Amino acid sequence: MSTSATDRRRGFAAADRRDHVQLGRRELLFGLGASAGSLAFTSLLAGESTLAGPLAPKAPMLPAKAKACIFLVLEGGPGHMDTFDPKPKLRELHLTESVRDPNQVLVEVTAKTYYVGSPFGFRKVGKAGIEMCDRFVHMAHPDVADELCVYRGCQAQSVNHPDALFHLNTGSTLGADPGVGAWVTYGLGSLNQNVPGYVVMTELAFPQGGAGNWSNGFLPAHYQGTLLRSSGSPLLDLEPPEWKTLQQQRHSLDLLADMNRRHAERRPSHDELAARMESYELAYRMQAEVPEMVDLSRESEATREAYGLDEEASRAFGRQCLLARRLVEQGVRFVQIFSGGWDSHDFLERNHAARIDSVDKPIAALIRDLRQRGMLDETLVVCSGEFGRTPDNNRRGGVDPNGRGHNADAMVVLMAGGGTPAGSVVGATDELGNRAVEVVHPLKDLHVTWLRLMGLDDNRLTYFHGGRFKQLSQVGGQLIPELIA
Amino acid sequence: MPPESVVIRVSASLAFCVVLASALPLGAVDDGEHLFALEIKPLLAFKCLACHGQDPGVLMGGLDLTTRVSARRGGQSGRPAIVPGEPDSSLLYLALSGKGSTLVMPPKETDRLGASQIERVRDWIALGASWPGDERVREIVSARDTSAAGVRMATSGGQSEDWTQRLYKPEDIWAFRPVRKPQVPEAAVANPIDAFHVARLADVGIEPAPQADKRDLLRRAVFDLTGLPPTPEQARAFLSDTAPGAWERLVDRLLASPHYGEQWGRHWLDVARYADTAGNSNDYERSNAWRYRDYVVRSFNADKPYDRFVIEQLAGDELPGSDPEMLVATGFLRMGPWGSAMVPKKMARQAYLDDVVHSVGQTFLSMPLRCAKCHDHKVDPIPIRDYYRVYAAFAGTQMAERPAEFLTEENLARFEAGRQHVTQLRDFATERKEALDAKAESAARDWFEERGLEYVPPAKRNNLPDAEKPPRHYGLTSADEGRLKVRRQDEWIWTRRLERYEPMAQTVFNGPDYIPGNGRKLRVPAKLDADWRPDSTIFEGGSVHAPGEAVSPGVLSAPQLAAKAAPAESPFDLPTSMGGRRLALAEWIVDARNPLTARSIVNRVWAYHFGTGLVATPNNLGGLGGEPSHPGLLDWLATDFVENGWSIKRLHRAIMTSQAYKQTSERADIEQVRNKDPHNRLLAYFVPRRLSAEELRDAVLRVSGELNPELGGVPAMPEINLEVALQPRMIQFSIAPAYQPSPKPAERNRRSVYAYRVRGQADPLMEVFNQPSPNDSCERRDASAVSPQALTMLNSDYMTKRSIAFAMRLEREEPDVASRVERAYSLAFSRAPEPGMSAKLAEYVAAIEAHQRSSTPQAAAYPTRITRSLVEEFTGAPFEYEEWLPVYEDYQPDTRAWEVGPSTRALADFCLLLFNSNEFAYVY
Repeated sequence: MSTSATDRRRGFAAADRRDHVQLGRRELLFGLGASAGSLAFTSLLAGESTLAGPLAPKAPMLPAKAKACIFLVLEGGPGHMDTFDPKPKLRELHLTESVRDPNQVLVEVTAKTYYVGSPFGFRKVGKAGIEMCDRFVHMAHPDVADELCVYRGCQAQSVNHPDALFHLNTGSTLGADPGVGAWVTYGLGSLNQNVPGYVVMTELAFPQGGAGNWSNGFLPAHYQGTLLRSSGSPLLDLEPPEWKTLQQQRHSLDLLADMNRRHAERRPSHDELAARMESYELAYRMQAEVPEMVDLSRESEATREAYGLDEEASRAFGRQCLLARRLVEQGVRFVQIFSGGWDSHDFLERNHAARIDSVDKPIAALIRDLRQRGMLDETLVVCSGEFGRTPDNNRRGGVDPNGRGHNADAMVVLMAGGGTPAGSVVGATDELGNRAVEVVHPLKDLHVTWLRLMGLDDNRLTYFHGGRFKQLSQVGGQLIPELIA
Repeated sequence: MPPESVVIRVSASLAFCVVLASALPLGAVDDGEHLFALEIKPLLAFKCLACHGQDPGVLMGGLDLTTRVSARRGGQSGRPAIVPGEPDSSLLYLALSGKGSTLVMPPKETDRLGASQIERVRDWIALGASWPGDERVREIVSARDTSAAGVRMATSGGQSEDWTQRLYKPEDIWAFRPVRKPQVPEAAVANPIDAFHVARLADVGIEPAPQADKRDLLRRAVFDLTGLPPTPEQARAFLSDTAPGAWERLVDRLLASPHYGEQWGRHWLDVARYADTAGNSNDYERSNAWRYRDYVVRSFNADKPYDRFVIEQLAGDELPGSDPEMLVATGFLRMGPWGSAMVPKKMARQAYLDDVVHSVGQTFLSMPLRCAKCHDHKVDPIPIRDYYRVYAAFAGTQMAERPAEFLTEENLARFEAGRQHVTQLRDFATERKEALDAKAESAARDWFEERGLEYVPPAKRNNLPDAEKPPRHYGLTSADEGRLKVRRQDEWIWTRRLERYEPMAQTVFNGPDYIPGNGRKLRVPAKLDADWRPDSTIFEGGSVHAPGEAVSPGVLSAPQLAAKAAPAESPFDLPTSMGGRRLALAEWIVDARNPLTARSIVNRVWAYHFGTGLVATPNNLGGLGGEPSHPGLLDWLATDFVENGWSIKRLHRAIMTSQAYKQTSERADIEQVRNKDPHNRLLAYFVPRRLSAEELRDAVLRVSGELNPELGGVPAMPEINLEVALQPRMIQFSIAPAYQPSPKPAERNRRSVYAYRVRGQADPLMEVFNQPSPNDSCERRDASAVSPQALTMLNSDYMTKRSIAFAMRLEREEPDVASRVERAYSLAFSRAPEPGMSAKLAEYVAAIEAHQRSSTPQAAAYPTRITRSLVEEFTGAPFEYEEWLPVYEDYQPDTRAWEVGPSTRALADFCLLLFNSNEFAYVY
């Protein structure tokens, strides 16, 4: 290792080239995932090792606990004191005027604020005695609750939804950086080359900030989150118009390949042509593979029932959780699901009760199902909002406060499997839930820890962009050892 | 080993060089005292003291590295960090070098030291670890021989003496040095660009590539300058022009085309981050942003001198006179994403100014400034003080929509139709909102009546106790509650959109800080406090809550270029008056002696022509950017550019008439050339490029005959994927309305630069072909080949329609399949099919037609009402509401598959193949 200017320049030249100046030949030879089996492809790369596309599986940098991740985002910010972090004191202080620390990152309120007691009761569940609000029924079963790791020490940065969502999902509040799933697939590739490595499913509506929450940012486009749609065609434009048969399309693709071959003969120096041809062949294969992959009719009635597919309240999220399990089973590296509507400034009881009902059974089923299939130890399940909520609120709409504001200083993050300590509560918030006070870490440390569980070192998982080597934690973070079993 | 992991390893090992190499002084120093003063002390300060002594409250591991005594004592481990004379017993050396068992420092790998630095630490300890006092250190530092160790850069001064005194390697700060017009190398070529080009190639023994053939040159020039494929007429005119000067005439014709400004304006809009909405929580529309887009296009078409172009964008509003276009130009300062929802006002204000400071540096100086927001720049000679001096130059700059009369050059077509469309949508929302309000109010009346209480109107109820008034949303179902929010927000959204048609501009004014409620409507307040002056300070660590030393407005100090009218004793100061700060900054930027500005723009122009800049990072000429591949050429171009009136068209002409530009992309000896110059930095051949998203769409429309070449105007609304158009997306209080395309084909089939850019909703066709997010400045487009591109190009409704239009055009223009194939090749590829191909293609069309005779495409209607649903936050439950899409009630669709016969569908399938071919997608 030398620090001479020349070496560094050379390094930059190489980085530039990777970045954008001239992508490496291999990188361009592969489209969204590569297939070693394709004949056309093998002949193109005769003599070279074939399993080497941008999404080819890569060995982790460090011993990995988890191979895959399912990341459930509760958009809007669930109240930690209304779910997994009870604050009995708030009941006592209910509707008395609150005192705010001006140094806290809270949503700006100019009027007087009042404490709001949680409308929910709490009890300890499972052998580990994890505290859980009594609206959670299925998660409270010991075989689920004892898999959980409840982390109460995390702090976010922004109290603005899109900024905070970007922060949770991309490590930066600015909304132009790669998603966690993009970094993970960049670092580890994908285990199935015929489908996307990073899959995203959303609530009825996109979250604030939209697709910026799962973009590839400055990483190559192969690492972008692919949105799996809940109705209609699972991927945009996956199928040809209904009046074109696959047979006709095969015919077309053969002619296209012929035209492209003739063209390539005239342009022998132009490496990118082969990559583009291969991306068409892969697209053709995806048309067959993806619909099968998302076909839930292949699941048993009992499984569908367990995920809550037969109940109105939990059907949508349950379907997505079941799909997540299928996807991970078939080699998808990172699945992200957004549950919207947790932003309870008003009518906290009504809102959170309904939201909890929509996720309780599906999450419980997901954890149990992964355990039963022997997948939980290698699958990191994470469930988090973009921030927590305030213990107090102002009067809104002229009535007594019955909801909560945004709070970046305290939140709750649930984890299960993937090498996290089962049946544990890590960290704590203060008596009122204003801010984290034990095992306190900024969100980036949580990112570093998730990467580490997947065998990736945040400091080494870097990409040269905009004049520096960038990483998920932005400038480096610390591991949270308490979150590793 | 898979190449990716190699790359990861390489990048990780490079990471720490980035920060270290240029930040620390280097040089041959062999006595311990000097070594400590010049190298070890700064290194400790930079790498260790943050955790080991700088803050007595934070002593990680109990180790204090601020004195020799405490370093010898060591920390909690009980082992000395330094044992003079014995590096291998010194924990400091062992930890820095990783030679100790487990302890490796600094903890973050990207902060670690380079090998030569570790060696210097070893040397220093071996030499006895001498630790001279501060005074002696100062003596040594000021007496050192700078020529050997590096260059000191005079600046306004850093937060530490070490930073201020640090030395730079010349290749890191070249861009801050004055531009001097270099001697053109002696060469057998007349064109100066070629002289530089050939001379660099000769250094490594490579001949330039031969000239590309005429057809390649034609497509290259037409795409480069207009972003469109050559028409058969353009092709004929050029290919048949065998007289000398044919190429120059082609370039001149293209530069005179109004499409030139669209193509090059688009490049500028990439850098400026153009969008029609503000992003963030609400993604509010910036209803008049289109006027800035058109201003940029006009400026390029008019070949506005670049210095003037810069001034107008930074300080148009401060120029004398009352030209409304100058307010539009300053729209540049409104291009960044911004929102203030839920954010404390101070921080929202800071977010705006940080964005402006960074983007002004990056755009005009190719010097991103964000790296100096929290600390002195780790690599470039930009102290944090300079960051906040530039920040102060904008401290009175306030965002606003301001009145600005329309210009005669502006396209005001379809205002009336647009207004009607928006008005009916607004009325739709208002009616429903009022009905819900009335429903609630009627229930409220009943509530009062049932309790025998006197009715109190809503406006007066706010302060009543909860028991004396109906509950919130009384009388509304949970779905009503959701709908009420949606209608309220829609009413605002459509009211706002009506401003598209008003003579207003998204621009700025000078005045006191203000962010009116929620930042959705930004207007110049009626009364401005004329005496208000911003308190400008450094924000320690970038925190608005930690104001530090006061600063006055100023320019960057490293170029050592005085601002005009600055006092002699403080040459880098800008005026402290409210007005004129930005104008003075802009004048400094375009001072002919500013070393960054002209280099920045000529490099950008070069990069768009060649695919790579002379400096590979057009947004960064600093130590973190690249070094110029042809330093002499860069400086020659920069001086020539300034000497000749900052004319960009003249620069294009100079570049395009060089042989360097006209080289072919194929050369027989390409393998040898790649061995010598793997990244083609010396430009030994032309690098083919894939069309950008916009070029691809525009080329498709041009070839299908559908392109409407009209210039400018309110955003065009092309058809986008219908699922995406109707995909609900959250905004702060509601979900954004569905996207509705323009009702007529000619309105939809405009050039892509005019398409509505919504930060929260990308057109998937554009996005998949690497159109960048407008949240970040884009210096160069990516061109990855991924399968979703193939799915879009083969299967999408959009491409299907284009292929049918192309087929119908061929049917109109030519009598039989053979001539249609010929014509299609001429339109799409500017050539005839190769021998034998025509017959093959005709067979293909016949085979597909046979297929299609038994296929019946199904008719589908556009939805005029859709039911949308989302989770309502009051209830946590999903609810539905109806949205009206009036555009589809009087819609002129493109011709669809079920409206044409099997033969047209078969021909369309062939057309689709041409659009999908590699030949269509690449420029050579």
